[in-house]
Amino acid sequence: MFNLVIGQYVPLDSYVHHLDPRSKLIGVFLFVVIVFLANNWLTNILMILFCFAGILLSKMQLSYIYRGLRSILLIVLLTFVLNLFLASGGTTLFSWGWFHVTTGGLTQSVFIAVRIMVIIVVTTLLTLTTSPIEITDGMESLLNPLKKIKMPVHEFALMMSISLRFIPTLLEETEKIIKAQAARGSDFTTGSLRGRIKAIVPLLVPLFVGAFKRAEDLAMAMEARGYHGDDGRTKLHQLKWSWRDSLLISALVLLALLLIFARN
Amino acid sequence: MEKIIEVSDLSYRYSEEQPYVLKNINFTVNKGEWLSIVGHNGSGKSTLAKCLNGLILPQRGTVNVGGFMTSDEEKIWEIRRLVGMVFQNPDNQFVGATVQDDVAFGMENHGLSREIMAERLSEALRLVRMDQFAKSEPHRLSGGQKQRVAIAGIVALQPLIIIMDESTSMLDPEGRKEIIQTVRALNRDRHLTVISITHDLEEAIHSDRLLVMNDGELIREGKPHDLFKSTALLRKIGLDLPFAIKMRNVLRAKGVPLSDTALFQEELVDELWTLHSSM
Amino acid sequence: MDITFEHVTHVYGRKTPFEKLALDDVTIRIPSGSFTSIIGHTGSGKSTLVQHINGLLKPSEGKITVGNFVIHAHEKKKDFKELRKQVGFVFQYPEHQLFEETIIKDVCFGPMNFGISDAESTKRAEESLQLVGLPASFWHRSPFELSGGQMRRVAIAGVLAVRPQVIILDEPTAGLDPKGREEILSLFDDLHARLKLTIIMVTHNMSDAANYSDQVIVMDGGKLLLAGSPKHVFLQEDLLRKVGLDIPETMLFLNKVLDKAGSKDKIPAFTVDEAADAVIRILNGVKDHV
Repeated sequence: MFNLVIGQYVPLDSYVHHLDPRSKLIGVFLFVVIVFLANNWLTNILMILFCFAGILLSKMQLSYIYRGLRSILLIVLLTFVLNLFLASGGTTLFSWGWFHVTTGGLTQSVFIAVRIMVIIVVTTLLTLTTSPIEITDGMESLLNPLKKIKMPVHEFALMMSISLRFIPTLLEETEKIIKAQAARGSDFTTGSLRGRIKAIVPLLVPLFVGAFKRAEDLAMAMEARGYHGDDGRTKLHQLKWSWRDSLLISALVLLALLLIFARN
Repeated sequence: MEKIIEVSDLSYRYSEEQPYVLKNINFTVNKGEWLSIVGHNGSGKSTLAKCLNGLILPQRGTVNVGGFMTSDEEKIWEIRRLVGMVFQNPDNQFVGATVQDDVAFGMENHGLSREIMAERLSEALRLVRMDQFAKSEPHRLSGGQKQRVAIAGIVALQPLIIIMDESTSMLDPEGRKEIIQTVRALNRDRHLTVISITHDLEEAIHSDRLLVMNDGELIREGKPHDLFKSTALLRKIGLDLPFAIKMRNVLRAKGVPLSDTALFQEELVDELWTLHSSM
Repeated sequence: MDITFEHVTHVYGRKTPFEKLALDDVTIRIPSGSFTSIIGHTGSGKSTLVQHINGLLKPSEGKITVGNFVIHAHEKKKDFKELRKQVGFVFQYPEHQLFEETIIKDVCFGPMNFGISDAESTKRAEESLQLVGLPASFWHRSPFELSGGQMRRVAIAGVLAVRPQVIILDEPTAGLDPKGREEILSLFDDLHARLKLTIIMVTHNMSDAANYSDQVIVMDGGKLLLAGSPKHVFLQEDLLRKVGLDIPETMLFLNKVLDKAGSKDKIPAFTVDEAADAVIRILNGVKDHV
């Protein structure tokens, strides 16, 4: 349960890990746009190669990447099959009742599956190589201009980082309350649906009461430690844009140009 | 002696329908001393502590900290920098995602420059012996370690006063020992004024001075040795006497002619020995 | 209801990077009607151990018997309801489990879950609330209006209302002030003496372990280190210190007196009264020798 929720940040020492979270965020965004340029075999292979280069540079084991892909494999398969039957063009490979599988449909389905998979691989790579707090910092910094139009960017980022910080604490708390109520004869795992829903109340109420108490304590502690909003606040972590980051963005621009050139 | 906090005629209630939880409190805190405020749960001692850094503003009376009034909105952030506070629950005051982020939180709020922050961060972590854990996440730490991080976050702001609001009551004996040792060192070596809110008299006898709270009133004040001469009152308000005093009382009841001065176990053993060799 | 553990092992997060051996081949016996304290450093496996007694955790290896109820490792899903009816569990900070609109309803939660009729549940709830000393004027109020100490007593009443034969206490006095501690401990001491309930208490307080129990179990690193009468256990000061534990404050004080008298003896005295008698004996003894 733990690993699922906290994201799967794997601290390693690699080129991708040392990138500024901002360049990674911009990079992922650019990549997602670029992906839609790919429309033939060559361009799709280019996308896949780019992904592999990223994985190699991150020193990440393929099994970790696979873990990220596993959860959506079914969706990829489903879209593949749907496309296989719906898309047309080219010569018919075989027919079954109303369904015709054509060469055009087959290539189309492969391209779409590749498109989804490379997007997932790249975002997985982002969360594997960037700690949640770095992502929050990066987002805050990128969204900074929005402060000018009175968007609560700082508050949002702080909220995110505190939520991330408290996830393990709340999970622990949940487990404890489940056990305490189970010891009092409550049962969350068997019985009718209605019974199970009823059994949730003794779990949810204490959880909320506890979370509110924590929030109250935390607000008090933050105030005692001098927190009074964004005004005059400094930051320990400074995001540093280096040649590595410029390199990544250049690589993406190059990829985009290649794709424009090589696409049909 | 230089006074660092002056509380005069302080009264407070949470709302107008409710009774006063603090009634006409008057006391001062001397610079560099270790002051314990004792009382049972609900005696008002924690509410009083929150008046000392302006988390709570009294309806009547004033609190003066290092020359500033807590009612002065302009100075409130300066007061909170001067008065650090360690709360009871180690989990509910840990804001940062890692140990270093949490220690930096207060410094960030006070707008310190990055260079100063880095310097004070490593110094503060060394002081509480948590420098090995700078990058650790809170759920990998014990309660005692989390409280030490909280202390580091305060020390980094270079305060004059540290308030321990029952900071050891949720810890195991080992964690408790760690925290007390850490704060004692700060009191001794850095002359930090310590105000400890506790119901543990065994812990409180080591302080320079004690305030006893009951039902929102300050009922006694004095040095531990003077205060523990008469023990009936302390027992009546639901406090557990320090071990040496319990032992002293029982021995006396059994006919050993002890005086009522011994407060620490060592003192009691010494007195027993003098008594014995003179017999 | 005798409780036995035979070669019980428990592994958390098996086959993950976080795999941890929490109990390692533990064999113990807790006789029916006894008061057993379990002591050990934080993370020594105390809590893991007691959570096996009512099936909240299942053993990875070994066998546990509670009365007629047997739990084996590797067995299929089992219904623990009958067991949990017999074995009450007061968690650390049990006030965090309260959820009902009124105190009386919350205390009824346990008995009703175990199939006891409404009328009987209410009757038991009222009895339990009286037992923990909460005045009837409170019973129809919300539990969230109470003080921390009162909430704890309501939570304890909720466990007592099921009328278990065995009660497990996981640090029942954590965070309470001295008066609250005293009240809770004497409540369980009384239940043990009067109703012959089996009490199993996890504690960090050596004096409580020494004063209330018939048997003390010492855990270290998931293993059983020592088990026996308080006398037997607390005389092994060196061993206890090696695993980060202390001895009761009465013995600490007697050590200081004995030290002064130049004696290497250890005296197992746990109440202030016993210890005072021992002090007088030591002083007279020294005089006799001179």
